[in-house]
Amino acid sequence: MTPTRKFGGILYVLPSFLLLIFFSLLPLIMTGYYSFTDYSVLKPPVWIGAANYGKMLKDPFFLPAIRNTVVYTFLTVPVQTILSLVIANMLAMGFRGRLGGLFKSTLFIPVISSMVLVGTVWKFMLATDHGIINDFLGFFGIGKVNWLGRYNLSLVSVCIVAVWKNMGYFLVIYYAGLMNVPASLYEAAKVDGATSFQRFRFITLPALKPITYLVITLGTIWSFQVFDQVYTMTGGGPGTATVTMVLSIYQAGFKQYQMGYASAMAAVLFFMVIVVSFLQKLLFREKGGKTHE
Amino acid sequence: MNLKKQMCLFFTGVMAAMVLAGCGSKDQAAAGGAGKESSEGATVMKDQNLAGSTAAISSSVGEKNGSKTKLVLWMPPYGTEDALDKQVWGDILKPFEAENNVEVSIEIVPWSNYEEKYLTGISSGQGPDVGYMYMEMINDYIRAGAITPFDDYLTEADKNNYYYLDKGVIDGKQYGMPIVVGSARVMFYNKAILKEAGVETVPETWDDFVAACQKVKAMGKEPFLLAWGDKSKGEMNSSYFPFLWQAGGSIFNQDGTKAAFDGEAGLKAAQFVYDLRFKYGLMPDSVTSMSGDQVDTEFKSGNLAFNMSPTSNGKGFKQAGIDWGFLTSLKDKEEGTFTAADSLVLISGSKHKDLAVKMVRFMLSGPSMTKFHAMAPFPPIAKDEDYHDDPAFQTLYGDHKDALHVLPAVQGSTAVYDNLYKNLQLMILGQLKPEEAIKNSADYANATLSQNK
Repeated sequence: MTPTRKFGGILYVLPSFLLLIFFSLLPLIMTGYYSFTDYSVLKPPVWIGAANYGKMLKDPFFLPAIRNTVVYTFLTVPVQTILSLVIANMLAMGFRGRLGGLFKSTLFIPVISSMVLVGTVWKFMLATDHGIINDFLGFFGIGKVNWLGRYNLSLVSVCIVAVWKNMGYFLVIYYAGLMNVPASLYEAAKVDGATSFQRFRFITLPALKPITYLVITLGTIWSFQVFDQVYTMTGGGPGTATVTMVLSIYQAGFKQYQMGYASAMAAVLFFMVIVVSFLQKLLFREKGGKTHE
Repeated sequence: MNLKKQMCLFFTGVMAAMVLAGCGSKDQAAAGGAGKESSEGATVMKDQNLAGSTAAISSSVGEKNGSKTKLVLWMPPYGTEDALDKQVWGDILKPFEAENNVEVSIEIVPWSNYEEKYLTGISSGQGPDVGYMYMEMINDYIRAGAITPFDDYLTEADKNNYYYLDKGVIDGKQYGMPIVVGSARVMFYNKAILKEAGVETVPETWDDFVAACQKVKAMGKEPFLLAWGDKSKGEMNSSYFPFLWQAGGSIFNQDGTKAAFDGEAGLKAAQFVYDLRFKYGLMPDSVTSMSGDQVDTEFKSGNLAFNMSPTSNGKGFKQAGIDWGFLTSLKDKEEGTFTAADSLVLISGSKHKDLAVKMVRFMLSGPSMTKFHAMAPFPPIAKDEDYHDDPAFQTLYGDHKDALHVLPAVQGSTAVYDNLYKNLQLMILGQLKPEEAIKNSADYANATLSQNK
């Protein structure tokens, strides 16, 4: 490669590289620095060592935030992954025409809807008194359920909305993946007498493994970053019932003027996401050492 | 060099220039503003970092728009569908703009992101000349030198005219010019329900109140709701602080260095609220998910006997056809309830402080306030305005003035209130006992407030 060609290559990547440095890497380094300071934004940061990390251990609301974030992830990611895979498979197998298109569009509507709007509408729907869901359950003789006001149930309610909102996005990804699975494989399996479940188990699932890796990784990262939905539906309450890590970071930084402490929590979240992503990578690694990406 | 490379080089150059320009302007602001006295000499910046950023405000805000000086005003939303705040304030300030050759840029900041808007705006040099702050947030900005006191600008005439100047005095200085003093949380009651339940006299004490609620409950109506599911910690202004004051307590000690709500009164107030739900069964399970608006809707629908709500909601209750009465406060040791005392503040970075103060005076004048109060029903704040709020509340702001409490301006109080609210919510959920909720909150408060020593 001539030096001119080499220089030209650098020029091509330089804009993206600069964007990455100034809008990703630099903020990351600054967050790391601020996490060791007492910083309110209104005053200059003062170096306090690891005090913010020590404070986190004593913070009565930080551990619930971690617990809720993890529970939220464990509830939403498997459910939205399985549902989107099953529905995409049903659409690919049985509804390829206009009806399938209508179903896909309908299921995609929540994805493009504003989360603030979605959260607000669901809040009304889940209201204990006069909420449409409780009114509906009332027809079957089921008493009023305090969806957003019970300590354990409120997080589950938030998870239900998350699954409803995210499923359409992953469904479209799965559907695109299913379109790439050669039809000849299914035909051959059919000739060999494989049942539809066996075709799904031994053809569809292995063929979609790289997509499943993507869906689970994206779903996990989104779940760890959950904020706007909780913010609009419950504000993290009642008490600590639905407080999440990003909501805690936001409240500490912007409501309580403790940006240093918020940065420390953000650093912990960052490492948690890295560790979980690494574990997922290990889990999806094939015997030969190659990871589906 | 081919076209592709030329384009690539061009975009790289543009991007690098943008990045450098962004960094450069901050450096310049910091260098230019650090430690300098403002052009109008009101205040020496205490804080170099803030001085730097606020200098940036001066450079941006102070730009002349043609021959007109530009002032920036940030206000909260009080408007309804009929009268939007921006339009109302625009109309109010038109004569001021014409008289002073000023263009006032009005921004209405939603309550939902009120604190972060001020935090990010002021710290990044994009803040207003005049802002509107409530007591919980004001002290953090004072400590950072972001707000300039009005003392140097106040005349004797001002001092004689305004009713509530004392509520804007913090650390002995007039940091705020009260604009909204009112919206007191009073106990509304539905006369028809009380009559039907056989409650002949309006309850005065906590015991009377419980007895009245029990009669209403026995009749099958909802006696009392508190919005413990509300997302805002401000809900404590209806749900906890009034009971704390009624029990003779206070939120912080005198100098704001320690919690005081963990005393006997604070615990008694928490126990009372807890008992309303768990001992007497007067509040249903759904209070843990209810917002203030939902409680008000219940009252408007005629299903609720008692409702702690701002006086400004009285008009809406009347329009809903409710025949209501109110009592300023229940009484344990004394009467006590919350009243708002929100102020206009002068941002230190303003380059046109004289003009900004003139605008504040204009906004607080009788004719301006009359127009504002037509949109947002609050009592007058000065002698030059007649009373336009509901006549029912006129005595409240006169005869019962002593029962009205404002939240103390204490640095770090926002974090303390957040924590206290979460603990009290856990108490109402049945996850904590009152003494645990109060102790947990007090421990956190004392650790947070120790910075004020």
